[in-house]
Amino acid sequence: MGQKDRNRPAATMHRYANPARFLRLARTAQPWAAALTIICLSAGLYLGLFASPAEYQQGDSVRIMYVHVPAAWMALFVYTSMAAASFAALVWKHPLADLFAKAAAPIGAGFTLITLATGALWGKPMWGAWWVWDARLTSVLVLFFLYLGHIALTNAFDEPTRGARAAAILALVGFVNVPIIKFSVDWWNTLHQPSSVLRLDRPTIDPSMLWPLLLMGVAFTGYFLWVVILRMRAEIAARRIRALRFSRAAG
Amino acid sequence: MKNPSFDPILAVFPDMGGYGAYVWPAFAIAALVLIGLLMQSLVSARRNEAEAAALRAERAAALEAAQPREAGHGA
Repeated sequence: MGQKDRNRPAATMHRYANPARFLRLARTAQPWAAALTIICLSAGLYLGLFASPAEYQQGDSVRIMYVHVPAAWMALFVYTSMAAASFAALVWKHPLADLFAKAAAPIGAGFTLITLATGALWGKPMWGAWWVWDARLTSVLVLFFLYLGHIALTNAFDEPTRGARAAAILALVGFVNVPIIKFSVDWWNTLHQPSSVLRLDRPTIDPSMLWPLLLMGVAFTGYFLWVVILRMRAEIAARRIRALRFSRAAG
Repeated sequence: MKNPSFDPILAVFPDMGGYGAYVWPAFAIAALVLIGLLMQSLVSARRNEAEAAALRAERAAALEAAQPREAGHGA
């Protein structure tokens, strides 16, 4: 069983391409994603805002980290998942892949906006500036515009498949920006501090700060799954409405 | 009373070692964006699914009216 499927990743993938099958899966996963978000968010906020210590140089301003850093992780993760989905859409014509990219883009834009806004609020007391045009900040601003461009392009054509195709190409081309963001703090001079969690060796951050950070990261991941499922459901229903209206108009 | 000038608002929103003006807006902006996006997604999923169901019911009723009792005819 599954002998043929195993040799062809596209065939295995297409088993999940059926919207009815996806919707069943989504309805099961959605409450779990919501529960994961709420539980981890409560624990992460409590630890981050009240139970964790202030940092010895930055004082309590370091607590901005517990929303800024997970939001930045998500901004990169969501874009990476969109690029992967766009690849699947262009190469294997997977019908849910376009749907996922369209549903994910506004969430990624939201996380990027949070990253930029909280970064400015952290930069002002620590660096003395809301904004500096260095490589890290500028490349994240570019990421924000890539998200906005993706949203605009998806909706720019009368025929949805053409918009999806153009947006998929943008997502793939724009992916070069992701490693630039990640390594910008190592390649260029910057005020921005280097990574203290996602390192090749081991985290240099203290466990009392690492725990709330990881909990917020899991909460944001749960949030992304929850909202992307909702948005995919809305889009599947919207397509059904279009098809039903069309058949009603046709006869 | 340890603190004579007890202010309930300051008790709920500590001044964060002088950084309250930066820490709280950061969390408020994140909450605003995330809750707003969640609400908009919840509403549009619910609205679209209800409309799709209504359209399908309407079409089923139209088909029923066009071909009455088809299933009832002799076996």
